[in-house]
Order: sequence, then structure tokens, then C-alpha cells
Amino acid sequence: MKQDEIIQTAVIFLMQKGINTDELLIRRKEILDKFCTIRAKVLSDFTIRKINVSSRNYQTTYVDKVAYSDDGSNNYGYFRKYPTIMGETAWVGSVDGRCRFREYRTLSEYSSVIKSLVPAISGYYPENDLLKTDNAEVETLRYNALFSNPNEVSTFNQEYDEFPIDDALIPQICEAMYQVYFSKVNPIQPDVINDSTPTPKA
Amino acid sequence: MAYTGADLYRDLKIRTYQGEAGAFLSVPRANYVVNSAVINLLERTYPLIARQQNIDEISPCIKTDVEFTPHNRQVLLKPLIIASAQIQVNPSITFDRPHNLLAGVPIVITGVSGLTGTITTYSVTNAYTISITGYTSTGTYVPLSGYATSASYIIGDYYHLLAVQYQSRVNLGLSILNKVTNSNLTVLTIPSNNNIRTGEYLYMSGGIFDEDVYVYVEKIAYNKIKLYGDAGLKYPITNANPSWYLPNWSIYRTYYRYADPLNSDQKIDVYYSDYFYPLYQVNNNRLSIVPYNEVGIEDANVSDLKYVVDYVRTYPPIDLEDNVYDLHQDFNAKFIDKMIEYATLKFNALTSSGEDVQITEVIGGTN
Repeated sequence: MKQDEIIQTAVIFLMQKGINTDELLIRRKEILDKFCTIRAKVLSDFTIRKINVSSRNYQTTYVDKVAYSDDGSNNYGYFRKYPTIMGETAWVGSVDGRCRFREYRTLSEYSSVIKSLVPAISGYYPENDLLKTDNAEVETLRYNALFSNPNEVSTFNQEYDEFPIDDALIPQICEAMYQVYFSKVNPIQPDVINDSTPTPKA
Repeated sequence: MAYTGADLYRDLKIRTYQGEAGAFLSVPRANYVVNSAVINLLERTYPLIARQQNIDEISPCIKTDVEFTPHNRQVLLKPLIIASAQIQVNPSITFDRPHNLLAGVPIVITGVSGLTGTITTYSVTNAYTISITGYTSTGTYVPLSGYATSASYIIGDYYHLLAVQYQSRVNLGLSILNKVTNSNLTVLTIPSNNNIRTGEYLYMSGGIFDEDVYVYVEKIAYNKIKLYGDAGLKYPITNANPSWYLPNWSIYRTYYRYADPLNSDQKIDVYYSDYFYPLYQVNNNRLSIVPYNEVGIEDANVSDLKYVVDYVRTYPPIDLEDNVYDLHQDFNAKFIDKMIEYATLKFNALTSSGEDVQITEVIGGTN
């Protein structure tokens, strides 16, 4: 599904629950935002439980080098890193897909590689919202990950691209979105005495 | 067979049991109750027009997909009332509210002698006044008696808004890093963080020859696009089009997005209006869409192209003495029947006791 179709699906789901998003002036952008938040929650639950999610939930982007090193050398550069779900990154490497870059888990490990001047081993170190890479020759990264908010990824085309979510997960996400954000909004009272009319509050 | 204002008057008299000698239903009184009926029924029908049955009742009053060109992020509603007009050669016209006109925008002025036809030869003196050249106003102008409108810049016959599509052009902020062009193709290298897709119709502007072009693109690599002149991507742009591979181009995308309403009590909402999820305001006799960036500042990368508006226009005046114009051009038979019923109620309310009105409602119904 494309992004607008995702929103439409969420709107219909909420209407089935008795919530008219138009009347409540809940903006479509807000519905999408909440959908993305719950999507991140659902996918992170899978990640925590070590359950593989399908590739349909992943997104590929390309990132150009944004700045050279702050020490004046050309030993490393920075690439913008979009937030990912539980840090889940499937692949970071060269744009042609031939070379996968190694992730350094600690700064000391990364620094030692830089100091040893072994540029043949391309690597990166995640630092806040940047990826620090040891190879000054690397100009562009190919990045495949479970991004937290697909909309924030600059290579995502809202009109042309399929939204990175497995269709099978959409009902689960909509249900969770309703429970987390909208269940108290629902004015319909349960019909506890089964007379086909909502049972009024005592 | 035509159904005229005179026919409506006749049927209204039959319905109200007012014969020729009754005299209670005079033409002025009938005009009043009929026009009151039109307004009331339009208001009743307007919230229900999600159904074709209701659309049909007032369909001649509904205008769809009408394009207007915004200026200063807004399109004015209703005609501009002329507060004062100079009577002279090349007169100045002052309106009773900011005109929002751009010099040269075609306007039509009504009510000032000598200023006829579509006028484009004027300059903007200030927010309220324009100076017209090439025309001479004559006679005496009665303040506030005349008005101006513009078919593509002002929604002169606006009554109710139904939907508005916001067409905007967004600068993608992509620099062109390299160009390769020969007799077979033109390929541009652009930054990797682009979201251009094959088949897109993009606008390029800002070249040294100041020639703007639309191109279709094929994305041949994550950072390379090939340019075509046709949607089928069969005819590449080549170096035979020398002005089509200019340096310093900016790349723009056009968005066509329907807008949601932006109410005042919702302005605190952090989900701002933007080019992809636009929000419209209708207030102060204007329709306005302002795109903001993610921190709530007006987005300078977004320029307005068009507002495409569906709306209910002002109702046409009904002349109960006219025996030529067919009212079915404006209202269907069901609507006219309702109009007579409502006008009868109104008439009885004016001329009878409360009990009579109650009886009439029971007999006639309202819908």
C-alpha cells in the first residue's frame, strides 16, 4: 500500500470503531504519524523477541557524505543516519551492493582502525544521528534498515513508493493505534444487556 | 417545457389558496417567501450532498474543478465592492477591502460608466487602490454601488465551499552535479538523497537563459536521471535542444493535494499545513492555504500554482413575473416543489396564526 492508502485504511478502521476522524478534526498527517509510531512499536516487539520481520518492512536509502572530519584530516567523514527501530540495520555498504561496511561497536575500536591507517577495511561508527566512516574515499552509503519513520527518509517518495510495512501487519497496527490513542475517544457504550442498544452509564 | 417564474408564482398561489382576488400574496411578498425558500433549502441540502439524489436538486448551483490563481497565498471570495471611483481619464478605483490584485490580472468592473469589458491595463497603487490606464470613467459614481471581479483570481459567486485542491510547486533542493548530453540522451547526476522516480513530470527552472521546461524522467541509477520529452519515455531530450541542459537548474515537483479545513481552535496543533497535507482557511472573504515547514514557518520552497475549487455558487435570482427563463436550468422539479412548500409555510407564518402553520406542516411536510 502507498502512504495515502495506509491513511485511508486507518481512517476506515477507526470509523468501524465509531470514530469519525473528520468530525474530530484529526488530521491525516497526525494519523500517519501515529501509525508510524505504532508501527515502530510492533516491529520493535518482533525485534526484541528475535523474530525476523519480512523484507517488506525494510527501506533502502542512499546517503551522501555531509561533512569531512572535524580534525581537518581526510581520514573520515560523516553521513546522516535516520533513526531506526531498535537500531535494526540490515545492511550498510557501497552503493553497488558489492561491499558491506563493518560497524565498529566502540569508539576505541574505531579510532584504532583510523590510526592504523587501513583504509581497505571500510567501516563506520554510529555517533548520534550520524555515521562516522573511516574511508575518506567513500562518498555515498547504501543503507537498508527498519527506519522508525519512513517519511523522514529523504529518498522516500510519498506518492510513488510502497509504504514499508508488510500488509499483514496493518490490522495489528491499526488495532494497537486504536487502543493506544483513540479508545477513550470512542463514545459508543457497550451493549452489556444485549438489547441492541448501547447500555447507558449508571 | 419551460417552467418559468410566472409558473412558479401561479403554483404558489394554488398551494396557498390565494386566487387572483386574494391579494394577500402580492408579487413582492411572493418574491420574499420564494427567495427565502431558496436560501433555506440550499442550506438544508448542502450538508447532504454526499448523495447523488441531493446533488441533483441543486446541481446547477454546484461548480466543480474551477481553477483559481492564488496571490499572497489566498484567493478572494465575493466581488470587490468599489468604495470610490474617480470620474476622469485614467481613473483610480478604491475598494472597501484589500483587493489582493496583481497588476495585469484581468478584472471586470460593473457599476462605473466607461469602465467596460475585461480590464488588464492597471497598476496597483496600494492595498486598496488600483490605477487604470486607457479608460475614461463617466457619469456619477454612487459609493459602494459598483463592484469588480476576476474570473480566475476571485471567486465572485462563492456561497459554500465543498472541496479545494492545492496545486503547489516544490523546490526539491537538489543541485545538478553533472550533465551528460549528446545526440541520443541527456543524463543528469543529482545528489543521492533524492526521491525522484521514473515517470515523474518535473519542472526545471533557473538556467542561464531563463527558460523553464517540464521534463519526464527515468531514474537510471540512484543518483542519475535521464530526461525525456514524453510521458511514454520514448523520446529522450538530446543536445538538439541546446537550451534544455542549462547550468544552475533547480528541480521542482508539482503536487496536487486536496486540503482539509484549518479551524482557528486547531491552530495550536503541531501538525501544520504543508504542501503534502494542506489545510485551508475560509475567513474574511478569502480562501487561504499557507504551507509551513516542519517547525511552523512558512515554507519558502513551496510556491502556489492553483486552487481547484468545488463550491456552491450564489443562488440565481428568481423573477416571479418573468415568463421566459426556464427555472429548470437552475433547480430540478423536486427542488421547486420543496421551494413551493417552504414558501407556503413562510407565507402562512406571515399571514396566519400559529395553528394554521401547524396544520400546513402536517399536510404539506417539508421534505
